[in-house]
Amino acid sequence: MGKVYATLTNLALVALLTTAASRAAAVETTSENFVVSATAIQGTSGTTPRMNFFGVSTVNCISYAGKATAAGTGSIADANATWKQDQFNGTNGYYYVELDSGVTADVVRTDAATKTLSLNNQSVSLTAGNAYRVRKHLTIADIFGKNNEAGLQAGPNSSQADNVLLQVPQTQQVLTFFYSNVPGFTGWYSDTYVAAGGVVVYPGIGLMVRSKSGRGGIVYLAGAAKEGPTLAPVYPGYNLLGTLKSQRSLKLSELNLYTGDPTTGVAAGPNSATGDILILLHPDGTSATYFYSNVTGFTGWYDTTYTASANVLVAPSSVFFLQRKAPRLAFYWTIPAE
Amino acid sequence: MPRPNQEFPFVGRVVAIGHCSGVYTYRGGTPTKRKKCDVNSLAMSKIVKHQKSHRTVGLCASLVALTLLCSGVQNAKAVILAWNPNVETNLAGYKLYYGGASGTYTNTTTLGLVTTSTILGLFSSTTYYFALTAYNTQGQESDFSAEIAYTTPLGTNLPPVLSPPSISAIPTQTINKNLTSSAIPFTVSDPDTLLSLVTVQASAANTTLLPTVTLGGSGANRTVTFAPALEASGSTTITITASDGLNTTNRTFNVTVTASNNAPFFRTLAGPLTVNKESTGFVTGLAMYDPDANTGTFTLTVRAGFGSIVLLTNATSGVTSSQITGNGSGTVQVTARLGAINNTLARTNGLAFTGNLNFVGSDSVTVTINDNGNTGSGGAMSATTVVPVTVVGNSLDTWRTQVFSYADLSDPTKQATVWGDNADPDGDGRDNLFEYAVGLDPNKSEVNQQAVVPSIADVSGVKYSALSFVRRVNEPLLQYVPEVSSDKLTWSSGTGFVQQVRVVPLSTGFETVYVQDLTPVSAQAPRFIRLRIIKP
Repeated sequence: MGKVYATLTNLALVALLTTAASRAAAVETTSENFVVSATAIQGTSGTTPRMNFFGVSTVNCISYAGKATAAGTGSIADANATWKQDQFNGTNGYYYVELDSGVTADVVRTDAATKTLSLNNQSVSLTAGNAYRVRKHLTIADIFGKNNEAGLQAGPNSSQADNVLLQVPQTQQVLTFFYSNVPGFTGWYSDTYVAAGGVVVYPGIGLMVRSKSGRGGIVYLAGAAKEGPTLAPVYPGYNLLGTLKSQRSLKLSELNLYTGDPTTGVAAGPNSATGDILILLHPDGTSATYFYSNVTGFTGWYDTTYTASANVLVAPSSVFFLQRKAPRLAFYWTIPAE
Repeated sequence: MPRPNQEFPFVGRVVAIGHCSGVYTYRGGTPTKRKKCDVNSLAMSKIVKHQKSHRTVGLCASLVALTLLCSGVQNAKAVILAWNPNVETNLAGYKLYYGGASGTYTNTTTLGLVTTSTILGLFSSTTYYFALTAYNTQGQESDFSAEIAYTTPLGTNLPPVLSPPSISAIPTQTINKNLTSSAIPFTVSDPDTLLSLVTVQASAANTTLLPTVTLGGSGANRTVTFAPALEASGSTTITITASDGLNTTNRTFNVTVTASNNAPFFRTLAGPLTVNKESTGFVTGLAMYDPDANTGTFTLTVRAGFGSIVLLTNATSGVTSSQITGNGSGTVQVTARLGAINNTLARTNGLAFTGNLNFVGSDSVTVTINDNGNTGSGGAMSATTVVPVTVVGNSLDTWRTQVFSYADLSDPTKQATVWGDNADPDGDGRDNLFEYAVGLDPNKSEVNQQAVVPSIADVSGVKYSALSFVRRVNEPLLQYVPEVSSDKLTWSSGTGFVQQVRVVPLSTGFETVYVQDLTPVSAQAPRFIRLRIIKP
């Protein structure tokens, strides 16, 4: 009987395995990962304004995605495109294209007839089959709220209101904005009183908020979590950069800033005076400076006290200044994928 | 009128008298008196001895029926008398007596061994009396039967001559050998005789060629059917004869039996077949016949539009694998004797259809039998039947057939790039399963089509991540699972983590679902949210 039992058991096992094998495997798919983040803007405790530095860790959801159907440089040809004329430029707002490689470029013209997107970066090159995504740029109003939902202190001018500061690395300028509460002129304006709600905040660019009161504020953002690599330009001079990461901190050694080639990444040096430097801005307002040492036996990230700093973390939403020292030229920083 | 030297008992009973309207004039005549049989003492078919005879003579006329034939209400033409036959072995015939007065018969007609007689030339509106005697081979005559009387209707006097029946023309018939003709219609008419009394017969001049000629129908509408002898051919005639008892009419038509090859045909057909996607079903019920199949080989071709065909190769006395080409493909051909083909098709699993990869919808199995010219002149002949096939899939399968070409769907190498659940042919970052789930076009990226949209929910000043997504209504194939996470590594779902806020009907078949994270967003603690779609 024992043998019979064993046989039956085996049969049952075979049947079970057969059933399991014949059943189609489950298939799953997921949407993009979306994130809702909150960034606190600290108010000042005294009369001295307080600087807040933070990076935006979300991007707008995809407005359009497709595959190039022909090779192109500085443009994307997609014979299957369904967009309308000027869908992604002009009065419809500012959009950019991102490629799987992390390259981004602004859309300057959307041609429905030729089904071509013209880009502002003539070095962008695609071959047929390359995927691309079109997203709308985030703007000052998107981030802080069209009606100042972030709760910054409004005022009649930039001197009285809290300031949003946007550093422009190409020109090494810092643009100043504020939320105007002047009746008939409420909204975001530059310090020269030019409407500024639509000013673009590029991915990877850091923001500064100068708080002049104790109220502070909080910036809530809902959007897509940026996946995959992102290429951000680093210009000669100071660049306020963020990692675009919404969750994971990155070590200095993970930033991809040092590539070994000073034309494609930070230039190493024996000290912070020679090499390009990274100034990490801490939430408490302090900062620390790092450089990439090329001293034999001491290569890697070090701080100004020559302490090995490869494992220093750059937290999500935090930002840092990267000083690209002249006469070195600009390069594209490949922000690592999360 | 001579009298018999003996008298016989007889049975007499009037069964029926037919009537026609009309008035006739009595013409009169000399009556003849005879003694009647005792009606009360005799049964209809009983033989009774007559006591006046010196010997026993079992002979008695039994006038059974007096029938008036008429072809129209005011057109009575004749009186027909009918009676039961006597059973004496030496019976020689009957004598019919009638006249204008009861028991007095002025007219006599001597008849042979018949049981009916037609009396013509009667006057209208006149009562006639009829009686019958029987006589035997010795010349002995029975007593009279019971007398029956009949008054002719008012109208034209009955004519002395009966019109013959007519038969409509039948065109020349040509039929191929081994076939039975259809029922060829013709009509029979008779102006003065009930058609029920008109006898119709048919016969072929060459019974070797046409051994079987069959009549059908009744009354005016008749048919004739004929069947040639096996493999016989040639020409002959068929003659149809119609008789009203007095007159006979013939109608002859030509028949040619040709020696051409007979076409095969399907004796029984298969019903519609329904199978599940990529599953196998069996076409059953097909049987073919060819009148002149003999021992020749036939070619069976089975073709499926969007599937493959497999013929059983081990049916008893069926076709073998060596006789089949293309088995398992969309077109299968067999060359074998018809019996073997039928034996295979008679098996419940003799003819299998399996739908092609991803095919869902209507298809057909086309079955053609070709006799390859067996046997006869004129070349090969064939017959074809089409079996409707319905391949059933789920809603996702059906959707695939709507959005992808069959050429792509049937190509397994395109699963990863075109039609597979996780393929993304339009490169918009959403795979096919996702596009199906939220009602998007997998071949076309839709501008600003945000089927899944993140947002911030504000509940009494507390912020939560939220999501809206488009969902198919009552789609049992899919599970829509909103998930939340604090680190994008561990995702949580279910009522303890996410709550459904509301559902709003969208377009037909779709609805928008709003869900909300149950963990609030706080500074430096982002919340992640996404939609997972599962096809178990």
